[in-house]
Amino acid sequence: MISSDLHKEYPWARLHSLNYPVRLDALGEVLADIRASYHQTDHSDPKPRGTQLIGNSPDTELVRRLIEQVAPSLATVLITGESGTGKEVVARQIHERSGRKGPFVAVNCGAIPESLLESELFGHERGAFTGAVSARAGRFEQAKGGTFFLDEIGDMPTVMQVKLLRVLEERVIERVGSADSIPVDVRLVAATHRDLPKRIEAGKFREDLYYRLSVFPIEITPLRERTADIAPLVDEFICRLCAEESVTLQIARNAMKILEEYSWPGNVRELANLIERLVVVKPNGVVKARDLPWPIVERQEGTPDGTEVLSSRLTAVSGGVHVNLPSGGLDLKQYLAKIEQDMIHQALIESDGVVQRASELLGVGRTTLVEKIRRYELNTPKKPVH
Amino acid sequence: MIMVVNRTGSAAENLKELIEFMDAPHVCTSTPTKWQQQIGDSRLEAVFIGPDLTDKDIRAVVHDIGELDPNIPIVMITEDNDE
Repeated sequence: MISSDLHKEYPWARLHSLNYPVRLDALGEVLADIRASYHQTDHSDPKPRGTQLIGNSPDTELVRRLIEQVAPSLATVLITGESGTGKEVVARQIHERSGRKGPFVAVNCGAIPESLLESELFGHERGAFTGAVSARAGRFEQAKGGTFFLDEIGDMPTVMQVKLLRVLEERVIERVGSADSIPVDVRLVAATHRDLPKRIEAGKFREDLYYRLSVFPIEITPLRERTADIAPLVDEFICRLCAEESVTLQIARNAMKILEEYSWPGNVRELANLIERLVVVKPNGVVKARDLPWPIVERQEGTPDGTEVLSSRLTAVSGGVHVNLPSGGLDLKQYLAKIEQDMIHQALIESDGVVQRASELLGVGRTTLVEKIRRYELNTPKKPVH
Repeated sequence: MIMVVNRTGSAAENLKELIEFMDAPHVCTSTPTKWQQQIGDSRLEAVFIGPDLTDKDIRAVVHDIGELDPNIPIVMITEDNDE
């Protein structure tokens, strides 16, 4: 019996049997099994934290369809979208659904110094440069048979862009210090939050590389434009974090409404950070509107209760605990200076350290803000990356 | 995509029509040597192996399915009642 023999030879094979001529009811049962297992495989595979695409908005559904379309092919994918929208999640989904057996290897081009990037990507031979005490395979080689994700491709130095272009065209790499070409079987996915056509106009990004990369472009919409995803994302983050912390957390309806109306400049990453903070601040509690940080509440128009806004501001400053005036009073000037300092710090985080944008967020002039940053000795922090 | 692999076109077409009749979209027919080329950019949901393939053909197709994705269900169509 061929199918029993096949089970022995190929124990992984999921074999169904049908007699010929095929009866419709038997065929229907097999197709139902196939459909059930297909959907089960899609959703039940254990995946690392944060690799699922959450939400049911039309935009997210479209991204899902695009992933399904492109994943089985070898086409190079260019994912664009604001910071924190989940570009790496999309890249991982493409890899997981590609059927490629090699690993998913990610490199952030903006995080590696220019002088090290070539060696990081292509590897090096022993003695290629000072400190190269042994030969080392680069990330391209490590991704053999898998997917290579180049994040923040818009920040790649132009010298490296030329070398990357050659890899895409010839599918070979050369380690630093070697003239030998090594063939690479890698599927490339790139991502950027930058406007590449503008970078091309400014002479900072090669047009030929752009066209090579954007064989299959996927644009991820900012969270503020897909508000239908906010509630499912909140549920997912609460579910995940509460399980990790062994606590419970609920979001009151009015608080959820505020979350849905907020502009989320930091996108999904900002939402995840907020929920993480609320889990710490309100374990086993119900999050109400007044528990939300003031930048979120502040942007809601027509908040009827002024005290609630004030209370929320104080909540933000004190890290989630309501402020009660100490019996001995306080130094209001010093206290307000602390609030100002915290707000500037937060604005700089929100604006990725861009002072002009931070000044717009705070409604003060750029010069004024620069002076305050100097006075408070604040640096220009970047948003935390998760 | 559901792929029907058979040596003769007519039996494969009959199977394709039956599968499509059961509301399965995107069904494709092919031979034991050419089926992989016809997948293109599509994601394979299942492979139906027709009754006129030799044992050698069947083993080659099953082996290649495993190389492609071991999770793809394989449906064996047999002339007799063998399970």
